[in-house]
Amino acid sequence: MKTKMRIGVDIGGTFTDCVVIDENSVIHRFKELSTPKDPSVGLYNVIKKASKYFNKSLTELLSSLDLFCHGTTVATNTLLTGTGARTGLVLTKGFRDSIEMRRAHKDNIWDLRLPVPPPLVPRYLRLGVTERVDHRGEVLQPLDADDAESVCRTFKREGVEAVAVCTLFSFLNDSHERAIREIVAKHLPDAFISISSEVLPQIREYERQSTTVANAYVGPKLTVYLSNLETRLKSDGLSRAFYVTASNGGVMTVDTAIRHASATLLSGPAAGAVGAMFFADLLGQKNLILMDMGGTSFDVTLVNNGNVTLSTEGEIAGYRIAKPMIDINTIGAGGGSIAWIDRGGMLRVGPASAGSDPGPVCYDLGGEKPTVTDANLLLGYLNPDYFLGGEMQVNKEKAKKILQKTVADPMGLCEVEAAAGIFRIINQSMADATKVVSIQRGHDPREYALISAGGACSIHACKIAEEVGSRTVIVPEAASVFCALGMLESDIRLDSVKTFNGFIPGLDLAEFNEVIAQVEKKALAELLQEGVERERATLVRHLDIRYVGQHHEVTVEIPSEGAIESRHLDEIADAFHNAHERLYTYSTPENPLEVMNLRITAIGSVEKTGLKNASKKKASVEEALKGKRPVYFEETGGFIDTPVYDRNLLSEGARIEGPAVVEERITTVIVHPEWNLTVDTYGNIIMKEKT
Amino acid sequence: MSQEKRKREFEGARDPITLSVIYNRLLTINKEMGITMINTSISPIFAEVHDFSCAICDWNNRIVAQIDGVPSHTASAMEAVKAISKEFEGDIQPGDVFVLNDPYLGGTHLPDVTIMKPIFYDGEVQFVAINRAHHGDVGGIEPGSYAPSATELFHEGIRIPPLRIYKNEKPIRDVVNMIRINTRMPDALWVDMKAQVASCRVAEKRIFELLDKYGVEKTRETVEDIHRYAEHRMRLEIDRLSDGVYEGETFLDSDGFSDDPIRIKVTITISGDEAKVDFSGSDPQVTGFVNSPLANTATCVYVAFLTSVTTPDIPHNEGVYRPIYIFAPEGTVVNPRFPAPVASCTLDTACAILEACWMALSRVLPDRVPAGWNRWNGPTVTGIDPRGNEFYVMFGFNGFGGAGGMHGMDGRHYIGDGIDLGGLIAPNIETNEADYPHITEFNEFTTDSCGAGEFRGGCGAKYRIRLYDENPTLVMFGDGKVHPPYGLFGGKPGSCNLAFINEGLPGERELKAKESVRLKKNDTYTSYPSGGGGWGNPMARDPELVALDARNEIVSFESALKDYGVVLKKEPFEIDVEATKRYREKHSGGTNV
Repeated sequence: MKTKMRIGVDIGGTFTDCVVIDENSVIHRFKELSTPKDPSVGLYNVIKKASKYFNKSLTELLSSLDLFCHGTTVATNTLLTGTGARTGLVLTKGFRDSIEMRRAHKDNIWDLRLPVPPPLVPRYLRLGVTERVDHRGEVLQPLDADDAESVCRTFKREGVEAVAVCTLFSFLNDSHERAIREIVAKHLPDAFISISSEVLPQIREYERQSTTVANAYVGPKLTVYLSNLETRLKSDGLSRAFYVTASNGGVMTVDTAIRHASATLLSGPAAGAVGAMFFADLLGQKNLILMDMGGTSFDVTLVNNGNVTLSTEGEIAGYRIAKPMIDINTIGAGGGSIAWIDRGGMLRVGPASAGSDPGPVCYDLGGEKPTVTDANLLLGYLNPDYFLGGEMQVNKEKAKKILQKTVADPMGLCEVEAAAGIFRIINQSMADATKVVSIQRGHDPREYALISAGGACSIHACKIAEEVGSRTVIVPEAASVFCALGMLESDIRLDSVKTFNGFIPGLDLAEFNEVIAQVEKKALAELLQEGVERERATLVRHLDIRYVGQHHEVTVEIPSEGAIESRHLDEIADAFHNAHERLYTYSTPENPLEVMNLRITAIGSVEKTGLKNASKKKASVEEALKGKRPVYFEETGGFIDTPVYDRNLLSEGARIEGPAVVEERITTVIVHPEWNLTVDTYGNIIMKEKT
Repeated sequence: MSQEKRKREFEGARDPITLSVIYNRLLTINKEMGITMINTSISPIFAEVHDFSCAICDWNNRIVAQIDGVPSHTASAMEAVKAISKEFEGDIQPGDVFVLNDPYLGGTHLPDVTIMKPIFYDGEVQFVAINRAHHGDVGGIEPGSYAPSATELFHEGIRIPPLRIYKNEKPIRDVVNMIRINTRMPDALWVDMKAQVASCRVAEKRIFELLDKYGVEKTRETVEDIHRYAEHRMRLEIDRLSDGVYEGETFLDSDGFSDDPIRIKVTITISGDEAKVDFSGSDPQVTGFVNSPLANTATCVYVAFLTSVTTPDIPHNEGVYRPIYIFAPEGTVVNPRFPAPVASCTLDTACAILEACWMALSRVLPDRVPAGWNRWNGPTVTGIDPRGNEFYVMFGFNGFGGAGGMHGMDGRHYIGDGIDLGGLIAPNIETNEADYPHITEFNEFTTDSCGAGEFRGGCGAKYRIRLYDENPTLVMFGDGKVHPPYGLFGGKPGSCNLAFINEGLPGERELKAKESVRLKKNDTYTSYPSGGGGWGNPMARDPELVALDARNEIVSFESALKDYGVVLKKEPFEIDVEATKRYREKHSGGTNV
C-alpha cells in the first residue's frame, strides 16, 4: 500500500519548520518565522505555505494526511517565563516547604549570590492536610477530609487554577491522594489537577513533588493550546492522527500529553534527538553524538546503537523534573558567547552571551563585547560579504577594533591570536560538554560520529571531534529542519514507573511477575487508547538496580518476553555489573543487588516511510568553487589562501580535501586541514579525519 | 604598541590559551571524581548528603584543582599529601594507594578518612588524586564518633597515620583489617573507602588522557602557570582593599565541659597585596572536642577570603593561598597541642572562625560579606534498627538553619551551617525513613527565625522525629544555642539554636548544645535551628517584601510591625501605607517608605 502524506512541524525560537513527506516518499521543506505569542499562527502560516506549494486547499492537504506531528515549546516557555497557572499544592501537614527547600542543594557553593528560581507555588498556597502513610505504605493517620475541604476553600478564594497533590509515600499507597483529588474536583470543578501517584509513583518526595507541581503549573496552558489546535486542525480537515513530541523522544496523543504535561517539557530539543536517531537509521551509522550550537547555548545528545540515552530526571529552568527525558547536556556556549578577561588576566569565553540583541560586535547593532562570531569573522571562517546569504551587512573593522582593545591589548597578543584563542577556548568547552555525555557515561567517543547542527556548529565541529577523538563529522543536508523530519519517524512511547523493592539473589519472582503484569496491562491499555493496533505494540522492561546499600541506581534492560525466571536473574545481574564497571571503573559481583524501580515503556511503532533523496542537479566540484579567501588555521600557524565552495552546487560523490570552506545561506562548514569532505547520496556532508 | 612588537612578546610568553584549556579540563576531571563517589558509595552521608571532597594535587604536593566538595576540606588536603610524601619518600610505587585520618598528621578530624592515589606517568608521580570523606563511625567512646565527653584524641576513634593501603592496585589485607576492626560499621566503611579509591582511579584515567595529549613538560609548565595565575589574582584582589587593621571576634558557647564561652579573636592586616591573619588573643585550648588544629583553622580563613575578597570564578589552588599569612599561637583553641580532642572543630569551631574572619572583612568589604549563618544544631542518632537488627548511625541532616542576608540579597532559607555554605544536601524524608527507624512529624520553616534586616536572613526549619528503636543514643555536638548568627550594619541577629527531647510531652527536656543522652522507644527529638542574621536596617526594607514574607508566614504580623515597621491589614490582605509611614518615621526617623 502506498503511504499517504505526512507533516511534521517543529516550532523553534526563531523559525517554525515544516517537513512534508509526499506520496512518493520525497521530502519537502518549508520555513516561516515563529510567532511566540501564539505559536499556532506560525504553524498555520507554514502549513498554508505547504498547501500552496502542492496546489491544494488547506482542507485538501490536511485531509490527505495520515500523520501530523508537532513539537511544541509551550510547556517549556511557560516554565521559563514563569507564566503558568496560579497553582496550589496540597501536601502532608508539617512538610510545606519541600519545593522551596530544594534539599538545601546549591549548584555552586562558592557563589554566595547564586540566585534560586522562585518556587512555582508560593508558600501561602502550599497547604498541609492531616494524613500520614509510612514507608511500608500503611496508613498511620487517616486523611482528615475537613482539612482538605478547608484547603479547597482557601484555593477558591485565592483564584487557584491548577492543583498539585503530593503526600508522603503516596507511591506506595495512593488512597489519600485520590480522596483529596475528589474533594478538590468537587470544590474547584474547573481546576487542572495533578496527583503525584499518577504523575510519578516513585520514592523521593522532593523530586516527585517538584515534577507534579510543574505538571500542574504548565498543564492549563498546554491544554488550551493543544486542544484548540487539535480542534481547529480537525475542523480544517485533519482526520487521522495528531501527535505531540515528548521529552522521551517518542510521540503521544494530545490527551496523554495534557495529562503528562511535564513529559513535554523537552518536546523541542527531544525532536532534534529524534532527528539524530532517524539519521542513525538512514545512514546505517548507529552511534552518533548530536551537537547543536545556537547563539547562546550548545546542546549535545548521544545516540547509542540507534537509540537516544534517557536519563530518569533532570533540571529544566532550574526546576527538578523526574520524568524520563532525553539526556541532553546544555552549556552556555554559542556564537554570541562573550570573550572576557577575568580579574586576574585570564581569557574566558561565555557563559554570558550577547544573544541576538545587541548581538556580536560585527552585527553593528550596538554590541560592544567581542563574541565567538566576531572571532570567527576575523579568522576568515565567516564571510563578511555572504552573511545570511548576503542579507546582512557586517562590520568587520569594528569587530577587529573591539577585539584588539578588549582582549588582545590587555593580554599582549595581536588580534588574530586573540581570536584564535577565543576559538580554541570555546572549542574546548564544547568538547568537554561532549565528553560529559560520552566518556562520563561510559561511552567512548572514538566509536561515534558527530552530527553538526545549527548554523555555526560546523565551523567548530572538526576541532571538537579532534579533541574528543571522533573521526567523522556529519553535516546533514536538512540541518535546519532536522527536528521536524525526525518526529515523523518516531514511535509512540509511553513510560510507566513503579517502585518495586527486592534483592538479587532472593527476588520473589511470583510477586515480581505479578507487578510486571499489572503495570504492563495498564501500559498496554493506555497505548491502545492512543489508537495503536495491537500488533504494532511492544513493551520494553527496564529495572533500576544498585548494590545493596547504594543510593543511586543504574538502569538496565531486562528480558521483555514472558515471565522472568530464575535463570534470567543471572543475566540481569551481569548486565548490571557490566554497566557499573563501564560507568565507575569497577564492579563487585560478589555483592548482592537491590532492585528499586520497574520501568515499562510501551511502544507503538509508526510505519516508516523509507526516504528518497531529492534529486539534485549534478555539478562538478570545480563548478562549485566560488573563489578563495585567506583563512586562519592553527595547524598552518597563520592565514592561508583557502578555496570556498557553494554547498548548493555540491552533489553526491563530491570530494574536497581540507583546508576548505563550504558555504550556504545559513550554514558555513570549515574543513580543517586534517580533514576531508565528501557528499553522500542524501546530500549530507561527511567529513573524515585524514589517515 | 606595534603589531610586530606585540607578536614578539607573545612568543616569549607562555601559552595563556593552553592555561585556560588545561585548567578547565582539570576541573571537569575533579567533578567526575565527585559523581563517581555519589553514585557508588553506600552511606547516605556521601550518596545523599555529599559530605566529602575531591582534589587533585601536583607533583609538589600543591592543590591544583578543587571544585567538588565541602568547604571545610578546602586547603587541608595538601597537608595530607605532604604527610604521605614525607613518610614514604623514595618508596612510592605505581599501584599504591595511601590513607590517613590523624588531625595532627595531615587530617581534619578522625571521621574524615583521606584516600590518596599518586598518578605515575613516564615513571614519575605527576599528580595525586585525593578523596576525603566523612565516615559514619571510626570508633571511639561514642557511636558516630562525636564524643562530647572526650578529653583526648584517643577517645575519639582510631588514629590512622600515613599508611599504604593498596599495593599493585590490590588492597593490603592486614592494613584494611586493622582499620575495619576499629569501627562499629566495618562493612560500610570498607565499601565506601573503595568508592573513594574508585573516584581516584577515574581521575587517574582522565589525567593519563591529558598527559597523552599535552605531554609531561607542557602540562607541568602549564600547572606552574595556573598556580602563578591564581596567586596573581589573589594579590590583585587584596591590593584593591584599603590597607588597614581589621578585627573580628566571636564566641563558641562552650566546650561541653564548662559553660564558659570560648573566644576566637582575629586581626586581619591588609598591606599592599598581602594579608596577615593573626589569631593572637584567642582563648587557650580547651578540655572538650572543639579544638581546631592549624590546618582546619587555615581552611576557615581561606573560605572567608574565597567567599568575599574574590569572585567565585577564581581557581582554588595552592597559588591563591600564597599571599595570605596565618599566625595562630600554639596551645590555643585555633592551634591546639596534641592530644587535645578535635571532633567538632570542622563544624562548631570552623563556623566561629569563619564568622570572626567575615566580621573583620566586613569592615573593609561591607557589600560583599554576609551576616552570620546558622551554626550546627543536628545530632547523631545511633542504635539498632529493629527492621534488620543492624547497627545504624543517622546524622541530623534535616532541619537545617538559614543563611545570613547580604547587601542586595536575602539569606536563603534552610541551607545549613556557615562553614558548609550549602554544600551538604538534605536527604528526602522518604529515603531517610526507609533508611533509619524513625517517623518524621514535621520539617518546615520556623516563622520569625530569620534575622530582620533590609536584607533579612533565611529561616531555619523546625524538625521533629519519633524514634521507634528500643534504646537509641543521641549525641548533640552543635553550638549557637547562646550565640546567634550576627547581624550586620543594623541588621538583627538570627534566632538561637534550640532542641528538645519529648517537647510538649511528659518528660520534656531541653537539650544542651553538646551532650550525649540515652533514649527510649517512641521518644521524640525536636530541633529549632537558627535562621541567618539580617543585613542593614530592617526599617529600610521594601514594605512589599515584608508583606509577602508575612503572607507566607516567614515573618509574623507582629514582627512585620515591631522589626520592620510595616502595618498590615488581614482582610483583605494589604499594606496600610499611611500607618506604615507614620510608624517608621516615629521609630527610626527613617523615610524609606
